[in-house]
Amino acid sequence: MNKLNELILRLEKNLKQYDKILLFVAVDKFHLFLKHCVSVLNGNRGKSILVISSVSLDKDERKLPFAYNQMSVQEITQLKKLYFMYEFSGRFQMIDKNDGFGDLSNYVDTNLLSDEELFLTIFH
Amino acid sequence: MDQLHYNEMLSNLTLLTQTAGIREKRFYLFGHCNATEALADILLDQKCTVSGILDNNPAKYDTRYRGIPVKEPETVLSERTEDILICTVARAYAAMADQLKRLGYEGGLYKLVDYNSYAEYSLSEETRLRMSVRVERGMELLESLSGKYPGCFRFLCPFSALGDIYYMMSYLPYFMNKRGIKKCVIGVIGAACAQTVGLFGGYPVEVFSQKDMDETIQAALYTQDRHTFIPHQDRPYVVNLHRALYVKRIPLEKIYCCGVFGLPADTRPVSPVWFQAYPELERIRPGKSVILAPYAKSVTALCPEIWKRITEYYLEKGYTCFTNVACGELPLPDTQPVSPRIAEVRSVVERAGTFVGLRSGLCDVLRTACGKKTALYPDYYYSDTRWKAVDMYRLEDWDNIVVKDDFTWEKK
Repeated sequence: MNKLNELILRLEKNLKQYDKILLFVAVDKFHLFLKHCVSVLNGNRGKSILVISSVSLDKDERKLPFAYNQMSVQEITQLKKLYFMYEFSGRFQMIDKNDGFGDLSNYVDTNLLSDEELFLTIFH
Repeated sequence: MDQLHYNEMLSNLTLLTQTAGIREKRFYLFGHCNATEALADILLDQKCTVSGILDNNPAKYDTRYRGIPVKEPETVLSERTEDILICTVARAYAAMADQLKRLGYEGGLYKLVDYNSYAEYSLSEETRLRMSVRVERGMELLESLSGKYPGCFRFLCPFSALGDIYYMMSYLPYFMNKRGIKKCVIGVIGAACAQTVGLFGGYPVEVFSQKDMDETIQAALYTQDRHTFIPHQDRPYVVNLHRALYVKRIPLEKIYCCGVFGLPADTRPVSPVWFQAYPELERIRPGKSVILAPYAKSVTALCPEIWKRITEYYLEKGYTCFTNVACGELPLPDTQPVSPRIAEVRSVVERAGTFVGLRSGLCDVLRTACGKKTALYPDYYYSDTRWKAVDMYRLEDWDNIVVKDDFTWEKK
């Protein structure tokens, strides 16, 4: 089985297991998320959330209120390509910088949302 | 709902109800929107039983449409699957099917209209192969567009709605300036959207079919094309700007200004300038006519009685009443039809002096027209948010009237 197929099998399994999967491609946004996640995820009790990024968490951060999966940059790139090929799930979201369409972070840049509200929006 | 999708819904429903035993089942409709109401109308007219409209927006749970209660999707779990049939005409079919499955519902969800070619909730090899072929078709379309408009940046508008195009064009020059874009082509779906672009100047416009637009956009996403931008607030699936409405009310105009284009909130929208005179203006009595606009593609219709009362009111005042109609639409009783092009409609309203319309994209086109202008808002929630249509679309310098169940036209 090649690496892409393995990755897809894992994704399928995760989509069955979790209510929401959040893929952080943008590392700076992931760090921002870590800062706000406890207050943001307070309102999401009962929902199982998987967060994916390429960042290695330290010991304290592993106690966070979501499941975490560290992936290689290559794997994240493959997931990103798949996400841009078609909508394979409504429960998979990608957080990245992009220039091709309007993004929620524009609201933060224009002072319509705070950072915390941005993540509340994402996890609603 | 446009005529094409309406016909598709009707044809799929006819096929479905020809299946033995189907008509004896009780129907549930998933997703409360104007298309669902159109489907409910057909089913009720055919004497079918509609037990509920399922929706994820708790704000709608105390409401009814023609006596049909709006309920939470979990309702169907207390039903025997063989007794009921769940149908949808909403864009979020794939997400709804996934939700029902995860709730533990073992029956199916019948899709009566195919709105969304981006979604297929499967990761099977077959699906991925089909979707990669779709992307390749999109790449060819993108390449062909690039060849036709060399050196032009591409704005691809994914949905055929005048209001969306109007808002987009109102802020586009600022965005182009911000990005240093000198030349562009604007891709739209349908002639009316192309005409709306035309109000804002001489931008090159390319008209697409919905299918070609979807595929071209998908290819631009897949290839991370740096020369294409998708200026929309909730389409396609990668755009999540509307989600901000779960935590805060942001009027649609600000969603375009700040969310879509990332411009400061105090940016002043550009006004349209390229209007034309309607060639049959002499039909309209200056200052003593009213243009009524009861039709809109994606807004719930108001009951005929309301329009009858409005017409009576203006006739009693000695006005001549006109109904703005497009192909296939009938004028309201006791009114004359008038069918100006998008660029001409302003001249018609300004000559008439008065406009009363369902709040639709046409009202945006008329936003800056002179005269007495009234926008009527059906009392519905915007998408799955807690905001009402009037919260999202209110027009400055217009009479904005919310039409509730007990509404009566008493304008003086």
